[in-house]
Amino acid sequence: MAKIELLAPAGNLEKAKIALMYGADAVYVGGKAFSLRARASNFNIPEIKELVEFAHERNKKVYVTMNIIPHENDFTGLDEYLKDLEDVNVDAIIVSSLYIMKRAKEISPKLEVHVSTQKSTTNIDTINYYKEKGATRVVLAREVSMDEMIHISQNTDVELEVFIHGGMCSSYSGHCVLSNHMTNRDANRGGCAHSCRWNYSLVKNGEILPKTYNIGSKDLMAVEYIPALIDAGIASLKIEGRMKSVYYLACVVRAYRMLIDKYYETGVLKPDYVNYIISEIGKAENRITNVGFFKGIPDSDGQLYDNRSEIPTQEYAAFVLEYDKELQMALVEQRNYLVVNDQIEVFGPNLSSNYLQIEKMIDFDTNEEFEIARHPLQKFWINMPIEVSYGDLIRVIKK
Amino acid sequence: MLIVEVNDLKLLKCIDTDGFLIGTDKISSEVFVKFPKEKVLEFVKEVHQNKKIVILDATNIFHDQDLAETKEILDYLNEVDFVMYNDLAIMNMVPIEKRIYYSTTYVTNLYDFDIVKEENTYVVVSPELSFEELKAFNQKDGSFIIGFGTWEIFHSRRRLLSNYFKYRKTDYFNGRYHIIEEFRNEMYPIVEDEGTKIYLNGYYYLASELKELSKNILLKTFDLEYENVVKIVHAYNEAIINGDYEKLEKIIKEFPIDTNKGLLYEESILTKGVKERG
Repeated sequence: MAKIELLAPAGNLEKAKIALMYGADAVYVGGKAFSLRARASNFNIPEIKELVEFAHERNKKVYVTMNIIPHENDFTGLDEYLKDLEDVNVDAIIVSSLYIMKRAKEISPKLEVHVSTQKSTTNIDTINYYKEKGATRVVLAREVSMDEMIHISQNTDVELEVFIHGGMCSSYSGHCVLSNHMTNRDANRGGCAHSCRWNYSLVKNGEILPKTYNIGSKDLMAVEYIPALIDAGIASLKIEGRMKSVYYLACVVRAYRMLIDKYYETGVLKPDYVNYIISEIGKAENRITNVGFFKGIPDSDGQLYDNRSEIPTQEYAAFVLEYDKELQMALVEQRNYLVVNDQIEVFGPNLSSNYLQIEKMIDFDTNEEFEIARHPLQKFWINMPIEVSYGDLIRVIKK
Repeated sequence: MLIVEVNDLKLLKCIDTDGFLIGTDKISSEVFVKFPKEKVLEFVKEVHQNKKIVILDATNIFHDQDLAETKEILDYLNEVDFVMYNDLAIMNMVPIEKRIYYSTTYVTNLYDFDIVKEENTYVVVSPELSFEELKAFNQKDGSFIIGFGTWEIFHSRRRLLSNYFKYRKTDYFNGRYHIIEEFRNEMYPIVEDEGTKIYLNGYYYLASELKELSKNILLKTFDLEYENVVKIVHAYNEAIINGDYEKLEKIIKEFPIDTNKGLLYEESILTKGVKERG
């Protein structure tokens, strides 16, 4: 059986490369057309080409989302776009529209077709329907439980993709148009206003109840279900979040990479190791998480009430640009407040965690020493006794 | 074809319609009132005596463990004329000549319509369309539109009312619930059954527009009282017969209920930041 795929989101080229460097087997990205997440800085064809080459050199894959539910005037340029994606060797497209699926089979037969979670697929008969239409993979609805996934996997030869981490629609995906009616923003064409995360009042028999009412769900984190998903023969484990930061992607992808590899190596995941992975994810995760539908229909613990979901995380301090071996200094770009004498952790795609203290910071432009890095994207040198490289990350250890 | 959703079995007497949409427990999602399958069967037999048709609502989203019971219910009610569904698993249980695909959000263009139509007798097109977009479907045989009523705009497998009351450590009692967003005034009905549904606020209607639209029209009655349903069905039937849709427009406008035109004349905005909340 092929090793399970770790599939990461990417809102731009830098994020996509970081996700692949940190252990993703594949990334999914939005193009300039036909993609949800209208606000993500989506890819043009040359960027997709560059990403595909970067990925294929590393024996990894690139999927392009075309999962809007299109209206009549959204089809302009569809054939050319499909052909372009095929020409730059994209591995698969992720679709919702049956017509786009059909057209892809006709115009760009080398492109694999994956059915988006927007179709909320919950049963084998529906999976088989998409197979007949030419799909090779179906992204299951996030409402499918672990037991249901096992049953489905045992009864189909279609590849199954499952969300394991990130934001969740509170509704069956594709079946929510709250945003359309409340804001005129079409949720199924990339304009979702996340109306399910807003505050509401509940009115019972005409009387407004005193406290805030919410329908939003906590984010998903399925760390504890990874062994079961691997054992069930699921093809791909998907992380949500094309809008997320480089730091978030690096941390979350790296954590799941370690977890998956550990399970393949040892056949078991000890509780201490699972807790370690959860703590690693926790260094980047800024939302309250839950296991979603994995253990069945969520009770009140699966919902967000009263509080906003974000937990501020300020640990991420800097992104490594290059390393001067002779001087043992790293050129970094600031992401968050960093002060001389801070204890830091440095880690990267090929670098396990190292801990040290900041002794010196020198501004890249003025060549002057300074004490506090407070400007976003400021470039400066820091002392670095261990060899680091582009893409490594620095975070401050909380006191 | 004018079809009315049955929220009261007395509607059997309604003579102004060509048929009825009726729902039952376990398989129906879009109808507001569900009846025991035995009652539905009796209703079907009586409707057939009146030479009208019955469409069974099977619009739930089905998980594998639901399918055996769903099949039993469909077999039990196999005298219905059509089955309206959204979950593709239903295709294995119902022959093409009885299938009506209820697209919810999924059929928003003619290309997808054509593909879906090949496998169904009728297709109810998505109601979140502009008038111009809806008009295009008039050229298609087998297109069905929602002419009046409210529908699910949110469908969750989560139990969002009982979960909330559990969190608040308060007992959850059945009742009529609505939600109001903090910066808006509209009240959206919210109903918990196997999951939770939120419905459009007020009653959407097509009237003057109908002269340019499909005449396969579904009237969704939600919680309207019997007398009002009868009046509305009568108004639509008369308009179709006489072609006087302006009169229908006037009647519905003056009807003592909240009505709206949904997204018919709204321009959809696809990116954030273009229009602020509120």
